[in-house]
Amino acid sequence: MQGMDVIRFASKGYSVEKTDPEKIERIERKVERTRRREKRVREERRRREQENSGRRSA
Amino acid sequence: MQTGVDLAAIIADLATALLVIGGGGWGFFRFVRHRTLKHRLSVSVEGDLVREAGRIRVTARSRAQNIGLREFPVSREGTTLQLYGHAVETTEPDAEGTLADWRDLGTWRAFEGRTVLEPDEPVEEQLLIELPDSGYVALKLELLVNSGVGRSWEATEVVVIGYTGDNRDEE
Repeated sequence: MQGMDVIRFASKGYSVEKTDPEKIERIERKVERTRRREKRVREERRRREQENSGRRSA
Repeated sequence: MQTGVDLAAIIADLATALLVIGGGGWGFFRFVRHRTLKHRLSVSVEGDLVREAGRIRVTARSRAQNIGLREFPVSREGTTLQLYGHAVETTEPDAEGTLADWRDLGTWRAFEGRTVLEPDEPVEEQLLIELPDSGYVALKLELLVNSGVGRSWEATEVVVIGYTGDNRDEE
């Protein structure tokens, strides 16, 4: 970590609230969106790696 | 003789009634008024952040502990860690204060696979999140634990990236 700036953080408290079903639904949609995006990025990375290794062996 | 037996029976009945009422009252105050069996949870999110070569790496530690006296049901739905970034910086000298415009950077399930936390049981999970540095001046992490009994617990932390050092408030 030498030469890098590390910022540490910690939450100080928390809140409790009645569960809002709409909020949970919104969050679930965001989880799905993130999962799809990560899958797309991984596939793209794999494709690039395969292209690169193909080019090297050619 | 008969009178003595009747009197003893009456006294026994009275004592039983008093014990039942007293026990009920004690139970009411102990478990209902003092909320002994209420679901209680302590949640926090902490970690560190490194900004380097156009990338930002966030190590986020999500923690929860059942601080109640009964088992805590964790719902898979909604129990997540959310990350937001704020990149807009106003340069207008007379601009009024505005709230940060948080951009959604990702939402991940937290404590997946945990359905119940026993009393006093802690749970911790670490995520390493890497993102391109799009000039963020602050990040926000939100840990939400949905209990599945109609209540949710949330810990939020805003990390100002422009400041290098310890964002934890020293006590």
